[in-house]
Amino acid sequence: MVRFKKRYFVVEFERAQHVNQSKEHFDLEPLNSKDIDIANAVKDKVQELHGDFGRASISVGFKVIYANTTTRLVIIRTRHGPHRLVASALPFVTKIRAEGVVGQLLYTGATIKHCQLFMVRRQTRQLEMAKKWLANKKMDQEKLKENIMDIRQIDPC
Amino acid sequence: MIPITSPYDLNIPMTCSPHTTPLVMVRRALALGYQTIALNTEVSQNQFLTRKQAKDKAKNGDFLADFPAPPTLSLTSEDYPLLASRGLTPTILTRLTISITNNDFMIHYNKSSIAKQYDLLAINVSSSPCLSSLLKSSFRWDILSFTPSSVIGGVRWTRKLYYECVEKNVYFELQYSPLIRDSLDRRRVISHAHTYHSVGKSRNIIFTSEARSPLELRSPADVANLAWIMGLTENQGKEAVGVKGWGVHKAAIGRRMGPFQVRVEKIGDENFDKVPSTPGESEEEGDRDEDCEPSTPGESEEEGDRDEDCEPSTPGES
Repeated sequence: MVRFKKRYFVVEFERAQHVNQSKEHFDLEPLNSKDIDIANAVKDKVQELHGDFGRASISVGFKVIYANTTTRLVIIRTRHGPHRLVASALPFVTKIRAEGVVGQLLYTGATIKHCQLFMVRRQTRQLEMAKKWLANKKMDQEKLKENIMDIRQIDPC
Repeated sequence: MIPITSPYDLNIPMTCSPHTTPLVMVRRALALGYQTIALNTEVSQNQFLTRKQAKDKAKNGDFLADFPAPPTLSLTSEDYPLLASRGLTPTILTRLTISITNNDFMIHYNKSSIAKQYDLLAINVSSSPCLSSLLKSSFRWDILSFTPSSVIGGVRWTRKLYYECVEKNVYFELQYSPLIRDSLDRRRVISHAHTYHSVGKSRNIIFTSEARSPLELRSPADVANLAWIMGLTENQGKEAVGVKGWGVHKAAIGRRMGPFQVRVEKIGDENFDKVPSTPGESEEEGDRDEDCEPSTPGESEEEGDRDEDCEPSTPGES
């Protein structure tokens, strides 16, 4: 039996408020939403762009999880083929549960392993940036590291 | 050799939203991963004064005496930490977009020295006769743009018209911010993109932002994924953000340089010191004819302009 191929999108959602601000600051506040809210936002956008056909195509094998809530890192799993519909809809997701967001596709992987490797490297860089920006503020370094480097795994099946 | 500095975003308008500034937009674009950005100044042919309008100074309106000067932006390494960490610097280009209705804009363009200081030149055409007459003239430009509102009733694209533009190294711009801003503009831009696909196989397409606020900017990977909606293949989508932008940059530099001329001289004692000392370059005496300059087209030749001794040498003849 041929295998069911999948594609994993690693996406970071930034707050629209943070993007609009001209001052530089590091945002460590999680979004006011859950995995299901992001999944619904993406599916609604796919329906808006690609219609019922698009919505139905992506529904099998579609899963969204928060890999890291502190840095708003999300993994989206889709089947290979319909993944193009999801990828083309991601730039248009501007609201998750009435909160303005801007999505940025960081990595597209065929296996969880490489997505994991990418996320670990990125979170390490984010931790270094966070330490640098928050050097003046009193912050528990250990807790910061725990919050940023905690990467939740997505179910491969 | 012009190095490739992809990804490219060749349309960040100077007239952005009142809540932001071009510097904030550029910083955001560089943070998203772009390496080359073009700051776009938009003007319309109607803004330039004709002789009649210049006499009638009582007329109020948004008129320009000359093209606006190219914008300048000074950036420090703190403005682009992502690129600075890789030891790279961003390339900031200047772009001029002229919205035209007929060829009369060339009068103002040709006599302006400021307009020629821009790195890129884009034309926004409203109709097929206007584009056809522009192609027949000797005018050269880099990018062909359009506004979503002019898609219906605008240029009637044919394969012949499309490839005439391709042959003149003109690139077709598809802006993605109108897709995010408004659903009506989204339909118009997508239909225009599919027109490009059907008449021209989506050759020479570049994706640009035309973002009025930082929220409308998207990362290069996201923009490349829009190829699916715009009728391009996956590779074409990646090229539209990368290699094609490099092509536009090279074509623009070539357009500004103009056609090259070659001067051929016979080596003698008086000019022997001008011979380059690069190894591998051999020049035998007598092969080249002195004062033999090829004539450029349009140059009128009067008596005495031609050199009688200037005969093209046949190969093998020393």
